[in-house]
Amino acid sequence: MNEKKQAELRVRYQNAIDQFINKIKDDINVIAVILSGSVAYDVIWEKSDVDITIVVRDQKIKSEFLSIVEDDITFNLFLIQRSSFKRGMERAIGGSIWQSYVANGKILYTTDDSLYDFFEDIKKIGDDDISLTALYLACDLISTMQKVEKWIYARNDLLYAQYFLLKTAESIANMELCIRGIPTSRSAIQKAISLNPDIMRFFYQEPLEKLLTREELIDKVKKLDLYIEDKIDIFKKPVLEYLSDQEIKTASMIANHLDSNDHFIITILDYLADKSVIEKAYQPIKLTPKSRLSVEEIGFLYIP
Amino acid sequence: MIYIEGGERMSIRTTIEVSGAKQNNLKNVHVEIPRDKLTVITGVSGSGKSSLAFDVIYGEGQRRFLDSISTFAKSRISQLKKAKVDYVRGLSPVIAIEQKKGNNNPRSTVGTVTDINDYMRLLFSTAGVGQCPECGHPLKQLSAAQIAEHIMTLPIGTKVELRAPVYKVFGEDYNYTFHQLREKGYKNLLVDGEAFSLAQKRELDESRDYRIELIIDRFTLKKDSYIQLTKSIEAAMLSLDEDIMIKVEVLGEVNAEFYTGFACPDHHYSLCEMQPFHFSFNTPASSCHTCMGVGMSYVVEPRFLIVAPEKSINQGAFKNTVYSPSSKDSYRTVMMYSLSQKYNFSLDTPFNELPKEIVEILLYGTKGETVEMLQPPFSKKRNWLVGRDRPFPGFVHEFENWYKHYIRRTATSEAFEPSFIKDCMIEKICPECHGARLKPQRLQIKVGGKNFDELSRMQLPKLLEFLEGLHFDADIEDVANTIVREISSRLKLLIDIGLHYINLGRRSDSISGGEMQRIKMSTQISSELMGMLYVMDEPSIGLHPRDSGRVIETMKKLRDIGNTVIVVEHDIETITNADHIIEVGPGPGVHGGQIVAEGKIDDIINSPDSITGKYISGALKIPVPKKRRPLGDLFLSIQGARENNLKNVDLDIPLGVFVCVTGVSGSGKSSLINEILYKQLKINKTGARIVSGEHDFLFGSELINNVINIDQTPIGRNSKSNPATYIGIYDKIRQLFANEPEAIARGYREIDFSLTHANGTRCEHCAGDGIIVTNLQFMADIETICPVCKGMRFSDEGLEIKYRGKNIAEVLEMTVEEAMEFFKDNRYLKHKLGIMNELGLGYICLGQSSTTLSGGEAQRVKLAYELSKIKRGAHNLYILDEPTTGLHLSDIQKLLDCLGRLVEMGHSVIVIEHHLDVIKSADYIIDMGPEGGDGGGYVVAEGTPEQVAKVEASHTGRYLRDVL
Repeated sequence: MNEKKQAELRVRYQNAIDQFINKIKDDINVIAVILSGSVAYDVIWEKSDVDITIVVRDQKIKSEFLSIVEDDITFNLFLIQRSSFKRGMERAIGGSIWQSYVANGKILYTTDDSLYDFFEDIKKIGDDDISLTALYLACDLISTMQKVEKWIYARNDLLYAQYFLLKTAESIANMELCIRGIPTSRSAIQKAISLNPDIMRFFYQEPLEKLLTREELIDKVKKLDLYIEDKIDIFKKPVLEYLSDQEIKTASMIANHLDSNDHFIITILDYLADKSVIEKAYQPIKLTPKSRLSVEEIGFLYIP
Repeated sequence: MIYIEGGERMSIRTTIEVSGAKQNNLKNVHVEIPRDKLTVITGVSGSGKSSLAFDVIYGEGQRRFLDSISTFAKSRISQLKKAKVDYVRGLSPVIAIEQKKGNNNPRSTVGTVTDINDYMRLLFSTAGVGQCPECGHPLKQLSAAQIAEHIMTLPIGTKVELRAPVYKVFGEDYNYTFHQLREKGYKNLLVDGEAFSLAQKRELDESRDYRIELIIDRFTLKKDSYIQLTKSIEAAMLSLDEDIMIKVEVLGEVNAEFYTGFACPDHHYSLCEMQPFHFSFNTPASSCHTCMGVGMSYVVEPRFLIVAPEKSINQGAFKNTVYSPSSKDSYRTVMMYSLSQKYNFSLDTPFNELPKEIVEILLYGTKGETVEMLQPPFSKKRNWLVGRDRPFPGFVHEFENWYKHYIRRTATSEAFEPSFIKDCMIEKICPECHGARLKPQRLQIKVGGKNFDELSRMQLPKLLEFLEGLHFDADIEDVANTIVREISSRLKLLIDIGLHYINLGRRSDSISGGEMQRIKMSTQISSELMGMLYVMDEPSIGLHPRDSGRVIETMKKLRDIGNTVIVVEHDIETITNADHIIEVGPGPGVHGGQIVAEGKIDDIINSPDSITGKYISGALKIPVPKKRRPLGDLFLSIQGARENNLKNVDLDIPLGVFVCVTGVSGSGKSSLINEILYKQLKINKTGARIVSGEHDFLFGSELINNVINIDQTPIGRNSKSNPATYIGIYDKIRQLFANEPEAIARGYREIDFSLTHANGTRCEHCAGDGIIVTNLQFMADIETICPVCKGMRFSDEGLEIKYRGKNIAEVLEMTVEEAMEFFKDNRYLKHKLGIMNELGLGYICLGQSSTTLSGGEAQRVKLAYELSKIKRGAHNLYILDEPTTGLHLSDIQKLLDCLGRLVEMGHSVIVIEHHLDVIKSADYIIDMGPEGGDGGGYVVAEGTPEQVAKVEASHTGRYLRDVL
C-alpha cells in the first residue's frame, strides 16, 4: 500500500475514533478507553477493525463484547469492570496473550490519572514472568521439534517434516521477543527478524524459500536443540523454584502449580531431566482409590 | 368451652386419646393421656413403653402433621412407618427429644447446635474492636462507604494508595504465599517499605519476618471518585478474605489530623466492617488455613507406619505405601539400600531387632547428613541417582509432607489419597490455630478484651458473668445489648438444666447422649412454643442424683409454658414428680403390652399389679449386699492421668471385684476409664491402632487376659444380623438342620442355611430380608412382604427341612424362652439361651433384626455372650458405661446378679454409674469430682460404699448415706 493511501486511512480511522470518544466521554460510567490491535501499533488497511477495551465502573455488565459502527468502521468493544481489569492485568503473566494485547496498546482517554502509571507498569515484564513464558514456549518448541524428528527418522516424509520445522518459526520469534521483555504480537516474526536476523534466516526464511534435503533438515534440528539448550538458564527457574525444597513432586503437582496440564508440561520436564537439570523419580500410586495394584507415576526432584 | 356460630358447643379436648394400639407387643391398648400435664410412662424393659410413646403417639403426631405440609417438604423429611393403631385423637404438633448421640461431625459444637454461636458472631461483628497489626492501637469498624467518605475529605488531585497487610501462610515458604497472591491478581507488594514485584522476585530469608503489604489500588482523587473508591474497597475485601484491615496511604503531604478517629495514627491501618461470617469457622473465608476450621490436624503416629515388626524390611515390615520391597528399581529402594550400607544394618533383619538409632533414622531421617547413593545388587537397571549424595528426610516427614500437599490441594495424584490419613495418622490439635478454628486475624478482634476463642473456652457461668458485665459505646449500645440479652437467656437455660461445666467450643461428638438431650430440651424452652407435644426418652440418664432435680424442673417449665410433656422414665424421683403416670407391662415382650396401672402416684402405689408401685412404696427393693467382697492383692495402677480435665491423677483399681466409678457429669469418669484405661489396655493387649488418653503409665496389664467394653452400640448394623448370630447359637442351629437326613440327601451344607449366603436356602428374591423396600418420593418407604417367600425369608425347598417338626424360619421366630424349651436336649444351646433368659431377654426373638434392639437390649445381649463363654481360667476386665440405661428397677436386679456372676467366675468388673442401687451394690467405689469441667478431675473418695459415705466432700457419699 502506498504511503498516501496509508496516511488517508489513518486520518479516517483517527476521526472515527475521536468521534467515538466524544460520544462516551461524558458517560460517568466510563473510566478509561484503551486502543489495541493493529490500529494501535501497526499498518492499517481498509478491512481493519478497531479493537477497543473500555474500563467501566464496578457494576454488573450485561454483555462484555459489543460490536458497534462508526463511519462504517467496525469497532470491537470489550467492556470490563475496573476491579476485574486491575486484578486481571496483575494476574496475567508478562508475555501472555492478554498481557501482550493490552501492553501493545495505548490509553486513548481516562478520567483516572493513576491509570497511566498502572498502564506503564503493565507493560513491564518482570524476569520471573519472562522465565515462565519462556518455559511454555520452550515446551512448545520441544514438542514440535520432536515431531520434526519423527517425520524424518520414523516416517521418512521430508516435506511434512519441513512443514513442522516451519511451524517452529513463530515460537522462536516469540522466544526472541520474550527474552528481551517485549510482549508478543501477531507480527512477532517480523519483529524477530529485525532483532535477530540470523536466527530467523535459519529457521524462517530458509525453510520457506526452498525444499530442504535430509541432511539439511537434520542439521536444522540439531541447531534447534542447541537454541533451546541455550535458553535453559532462563526457563528452568520456575521449575527449580517449585522444586527448591528438594522433595519429589509429581508431574501433576508441577503442572498444577504452573497452571498447565500434565501432558503438556511433561515434555519440558523430561527435557530438563535429560539435560540433568532435574532428576526423574518414580512413585507407586493407585489408579483409582479402589484399585489394589499400583502403577509408577513420574515425579521429579531437584538436587542442587 | 367454645362456641361455633349457629352451631353446637364444642369442648376442647383435655386428653390425648389412643385407641386400639397394636404396635409391636401392645395388646389393643386404649389409654388417655392428659394434655398440658407432665406424664411419665414406665414399665420393665421390653414392656412396650417406647412403642406406645414413640411409635404410636409420636409417629401418629408426626404423620398427621406432615400430611398437612407441602409434598416438597415431605420428601425432605424421613418419615416413620404408619403405626398400628385404630386412632389417636387430641394430638398436637409433636417434637421428640431422643437420646441420639451428638453427630460425629467435628464441625459441630455446643455453640453451633444451640445456635448461640450465631448470636456470638453477631456480637463480634457488631461490637468487635480490632487493633493495628503493628502496634495494637485500638481500631473501630468502618464500612467501605465510611472509609471512602473520609478519603474524599482530602483535596482533589491527592494521590491515595490502598494497601493491605500480607501474612505468610503457616507452614509454607514465601513463594507459596506469593503464588496465592498472584493468582488472586496482586502483583505489586512492599516488603519492609521497598517495592517488590511478584513478576520479578528477590530472594527472601525464610527465617525472617518481613513487614509485607500488597498494593490494592491507587487513585487520583476527583470530584466523583467516591463511588468507585467504595466499590474498590468492597471488591478488595471480598478477594482478600484473609484480612479485614486496609491501609490508606496518602502519597505526599497529609495533615496528621486525617488519621484521627479513622486509623492508627502511626501506621495508618483501618478496620473494615465485619460480618458474622467473619467469625464462622465453617466458612472457608474465615476458617483456619491449616485445619479448615476443624481445630484438629493430623500428624503421623510412627507406630502405625510399621505393620509387621516381626518381619524384616525386605519382607514387608513397613506399610506398603511407606516402603514396598517389590518395586526393585524405585528411588526408595536405592535410598533404603544405601542407608543400610552407610549405617550398617541389614534389610533382612526383623524390624523389631533393629537398633533404636536405626529406627530413628528411618522414621525421622538423617537430619541433613547426606548418604551416598549406591546401586542395589538386586535391581536390574542402573538408577540415575547412583553416585549422588542425598539426605534422607525420614518417612514421618515424607508422610507429613504428603498430608500438607493434600490439604493444600496442590496434589492431584492418587498417591495422596485420604486413606493413608486413616492408616497412619492421628488427630492432634491444629498447630496453627491450637483449636481456635479461626484465622489468626479474626482472633485479633475482641469484645471486652477477649477474642472469640477465649469466649468459646469459658465455662458457661463464667461466660454469662462476663457478658453481663460488658459496656458498649453509645452508638452501638442498643443493638449490642439486645444481642447480649439473647445470649444470656440461652446461657441461663443451659446452666439451669445442669450443663454448667461445658463450654461453647466443646465438640458435639464428645457429649454424651443424655447431655445432648438436655441441650435440645433447653433449646426448646428458648423457643417458647406453646401447645406442643414433647416426647422424651429418659432425660435423666447420665445425671448424678444431685443434678436430676434440675431436669425435672426443666420439664415442668416446658409444661408450664403450655405444652404437653410425655416422658419415658425409670427414675423414681421423676415418677413421683409427675402429674400422671402410666405403667405398661406387666412383663416384657409377649408378657407385656398392657396398661397395668395409671393415675397419680398413690394410684400406682395402691395398684396390686404395678411393679413400679412396689418399688416406690418399698415393698420391693434392691437390697444392700450383706457382705462386700474383700479386695485382693492385684491392682491396675494408672499414673499421671491428665486427659481432658483430669488433674494428674494417680489411681489404683482393685481387680477381682465389682468396682463402680461415680461422679457428677463432666467430672472425668469417662476420660479416666474409657479414654485412658480401656484404650491403653487394648493397645497393650492387642496392639490396637488407637491412641489412648494422656497419662504417664499404666501398670498391671499383664494381670488380665483381655479387656472388653460392653457398651450400648448396636450388635450389628445390617438387617441380617440378629441375637442368634451374635451369641453364636445360629451356627449350632444351622448345624442341626444340616444334619437332618433330608438336608443331607439334598446336599445342603451348614452354610446354606445362612441368610447371608447366596444360593443356599434363603429366598433370593428378597435376599433373605423377607421384605421388599420401595422408596417413594413423598411418603414413607413402603415395605411389602416378599411375594416369593411371603416373609419367611427362606425358599420353599429350604423350609421343607424340619428339625423336630419345625423349619428354620419357625425356629428363628421363636422367642428365647420358647427356644430354651425347644432345644432343651442340646446342652450347648440350652446353656446359652438360659443365660439370655436370666438377663431378662427371654422375650426377644432369635431372628429379630439387631437394628430393632434398643441400646440397653444390645448391651445385655453382649453381656449374655460374655457370660456364656465357657473358657476356664481366664481373667478378663469388663467395662460397662451406664448399663442401667433403659432398665427398670426389676431389670437392674437381674443385671446386678449377672455382674456378680462375672466376678464369681474370676473376672473384674468396672461400671460407670449414677444409679444409687448399683453404686450401693459395688465392692469398691471410685468417686470423681467434686464438680464437672475445671472443677473436677480429682479422685474425691475411694473405698467401700460405707467408707465413701463418710466422706463429706463427696456428693455421691452424701446420697449413699440415705440408702445404706
